[in-house]
Order: sequence, then structure tokens, then C-alpha cells
Amino acid sequence: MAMAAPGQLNVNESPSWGSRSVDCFEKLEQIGEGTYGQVYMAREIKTGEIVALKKIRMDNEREGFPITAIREIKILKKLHHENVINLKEIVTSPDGNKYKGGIYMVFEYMDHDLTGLADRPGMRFTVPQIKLLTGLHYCHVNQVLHRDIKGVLLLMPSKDTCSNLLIDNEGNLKLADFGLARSFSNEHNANLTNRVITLWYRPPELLLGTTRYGPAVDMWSVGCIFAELLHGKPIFPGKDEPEQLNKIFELCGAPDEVNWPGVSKTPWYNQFKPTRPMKRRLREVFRHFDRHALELLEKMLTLDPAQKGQDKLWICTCCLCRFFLVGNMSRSNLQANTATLAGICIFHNSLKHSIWLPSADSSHIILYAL
Amino acid sequence: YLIKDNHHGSEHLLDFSVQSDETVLGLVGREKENLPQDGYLKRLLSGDLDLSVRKEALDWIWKAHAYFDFGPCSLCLSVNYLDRFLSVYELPRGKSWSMQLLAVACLSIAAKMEEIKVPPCVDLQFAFEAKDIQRMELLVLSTLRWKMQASTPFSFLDYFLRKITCDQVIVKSSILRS
Repeated sequence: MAMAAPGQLNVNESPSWGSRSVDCFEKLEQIGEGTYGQVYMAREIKTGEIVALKKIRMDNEREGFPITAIREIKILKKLHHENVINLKEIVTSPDGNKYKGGIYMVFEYMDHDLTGLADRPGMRFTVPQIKLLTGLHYCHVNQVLHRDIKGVLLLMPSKDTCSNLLIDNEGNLKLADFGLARSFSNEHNANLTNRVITLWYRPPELLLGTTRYGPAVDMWSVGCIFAELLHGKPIFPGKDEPEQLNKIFELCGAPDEVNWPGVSKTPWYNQFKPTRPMKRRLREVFRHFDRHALELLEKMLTLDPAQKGQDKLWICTCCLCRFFLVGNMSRSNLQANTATLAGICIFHNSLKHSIWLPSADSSHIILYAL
Repeated sequence: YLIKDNHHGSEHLLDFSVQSDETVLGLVGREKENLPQDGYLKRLLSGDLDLSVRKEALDWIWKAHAYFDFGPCSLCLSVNYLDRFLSVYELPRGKSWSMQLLAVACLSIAAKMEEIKVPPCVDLQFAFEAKDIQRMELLVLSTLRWKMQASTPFSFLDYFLRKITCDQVIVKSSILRS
């Protein structure tokens, strides 16, 4: 497991990095649209290697070179992990003036995204889920919040909201689309924008206008996806921001100064505060879930981000890694097969200073001390 | 196993801002990669490159930077980009606008790297059209080979501050002991 220190560099950069032309590649077909540009499957002419070329869209001249692209390049150059998409290089298109033409990011080619795969009957979620967490954990260790982890299951409404979790034919999963990602420091004094993360997976603190947030925002998204996997459909499919908050309150209860100290001081609280009392109904609605799964969900879908506190965040991650490693999991026996989690919970204290992560081939797990 | 001694206890488990000695060594190594080419200073001093034009460009960056209330990191990065660019790229002689355009592009890229609120690049100034700034940004990005994450004094600040405060803690505890 590569555990890079924060700020570790890309040491394998070749001298030609960033100076080659897109003519070194032969475009084969368009395979999708990312946050800000088309994606093509292409072959590197010299080596025959298949890659994905993402064209950076530069329609908005006023903005100049898009900030999302700058951020994505900055962050991907910092992250090197088997579960984070690898930015191989940046190439320019020479048509006409060199600097007027297109700019392409060259990625390793991935065969699927999770949206398509999840429809398959008997789909096994084991590997992808673990990988998502190791990739995410790695991002957090390197001080990057992904901020746009999107759902993997059903009914994704339009093309541009499709999943940013990619899988190759060997079942390796990678986090992609870092256009909204940014670095964070734990001091929490930096103000960040609150209009991030696809609506359904956006945590309440962002919906209430907070601009100081940390890794807990990604954990909420993972919690939503976790519940979605067990439930079979998205749990908070809001149409707009008020409806989104309402759906969250209906399930998780209305926030008040008791369960979330400080909530009344969030910028949009008065505008969005619930008009009637609402009780937390998580346990009732998801009573068919395995009780250990429910415990875990309770922790991840805690309203107050501070209570998803740092220790708990780690425990959640650890448990979830373990959770998905137990047995051979189709969706039905996923629920039945979680007894070992109980054992894990006993070790909460010993887990404080360590994390379980799967080996590269996912055949066993390794305890990393921190 | 990767074992690190955790002085701070469990409440700091997610405190990733602690940089290890190796990380800082890495930063020092990278600092060299992201500096102007050798001989840049000599060329400035000998008049091969016009020092006053550079000064003008820096003045503008300084003012615009203060006007938009950007953080110190983006100032350092802008200057780093400007100097690195000038050390490898020959701007057309006698066209002072090209230097101004370069300054705008460098500040714009640095702001996009570091700032939370970034105005559209065209609003940073009044002299140039959006498409010219965008082209200059691309020229800077590709000339610097997309290596925009240069080390600045701020990359090291945290590390040294922590060293100092850690030492204070140790001093306090040893005072108590004695």
C-alpha cells in the first residue's frame, strides 16, 4: 500500500512531460463527457497503449484557462495511488496556433464506470467499496477533499451526472474527476465554497451554507452511497436544495442546538430550518438492515459534522473496510454476513491508532499502524 | 508496517498537516526544480534582460494582488512563474505590453492555484481582452511544463513553526520535571 507522505512528488516524470502534441495519439472514439470536457479513447502511436484523452473545454474566455482544470492537474500531480486515476501527461493540439488549440489530459484507460455495472444482477460490491475507501483515505492523508463522490446505483438522471468511479476489466476501481477537489488543512480556518458535491450526496453542513468543512463531507457521501447499496435506491434524491435538506431532516431528524451545537449560527439556518419537529427515523426506516450496518450508518449520517469527529471517522473507515471484506457479498448476503463486525467494534480502541486496508490483490487485509 | 510515533494523541489523528522530515527534504529537492534557469540573475544584472521592466511587472502584480485581497502564497507563486518564464522564453523586444500581459497571466494562474474566490481573469485588469489573457496563460503553463506547484516560503512555514512549538512543549515539561 502506497502511503505517500503529504506533498509527495511525482518522481517519475519524464523530461518531455507536458511538451508533447496530441498528434502522438490516435483518437479512436468519444467515450463520454467529464465535468468540463469530452473524453476520448485513444491509442498512443509509438507504444500502442490505450489511453483516455480528456479535452479541456475553454468556452468561457473571461475565465481564461479553467480553474477546475488547474485544480484537477494540481491535485492529480500530487496523488499517486492505485485507486486514484493516474494523470499520465498533458498534451496540446497543434492546429493553427499552438496555444489557441486544445489542451488534453492523458489518463490511463478505464473500461467502465459504476453506473453501468451496478445494473448487472449479482453485482459484487466488495472490491469497489473497499477501493473507494482506500482511494479516499489516501486523498485525505494527502490533504485533498474530493468533494464530488457520486452515487453508483440506479436512475442517474442525465449524462453529466454519471459516476466518477471508474473500473477496469480486472475490477480495479479508481476515483476520477478531481475538478471540484481541493486541498485542505486541518486548521479549519480556511473558507471553502459550499456549492460542491452532487446534491444527493451533499452533507447538511454544506446545504446550510457552512464554508468551513473537513473530511467529514466525504464521509457523509460515502454514508449515502453505503445506504444506497443496501437500500437499492438513493436515500436522499432531492430536486433542489430546500427539498434535499427536508429529505435529510425527515430521515435524520431536525437539527437543533442539542444534537448539533452551533447549527443555528450556520448562514442559511433561519431560511431552511424545519417548520415542524421531526424525529430521527433512521433506525425505523432501515430496520431491515443488519444491525451492525445500521450502527455504522448511524455514525456516518450524523448531522453534526463535529460529532463525526476524527476518531469516529477513522473507526467508520476501518469498519467499512472490514465490513466489505467479509465473505462473498451479493447484495442479499451482504446484509446477512456481517457478524464479524461485532468483533471489530470491540477493537474500537485498538483501531484508534491503526487502519485496516486490503492488500493489493484484495485477498487479505493488513493492519497499518499510524 | 508503517509506524509513526504519535505524540499528539488520538484527537490529532487526522492532523495531516504534520510534515515529516522526509517530506520537507522532498520539498527542498523540488525547490531547485522550480527555480529560474541558471544565469537568469546575471542576465538581469548585465542588462541583457531589462530589470526595470521586471520591476514594473512586479509592481503591478503587487498592487493587483493587494486590491483583490489575495493571500501571500499566490503572490510568491506569481513572481516564481514570472521569473521562470522570463528565464526560458524570449519576449518580443520593445513591446512593453507583452510583459504586462505576462504579469496578468502569472497572477491569474497563481490565484487559480491558491485562492478561494477567483475573479474571471479579464476582471484582474483593463488592458487586455479575455482571449489574449487565456492564450498567454496557456503559453505560461506549457512553457513551465505545467509545473505550477513551486515551493514557496509557506511550504516550509508550518514545518518550522511546529518544530518550534514542539520544542516549547518539551521545554515546559522539562522545567516541570526539574
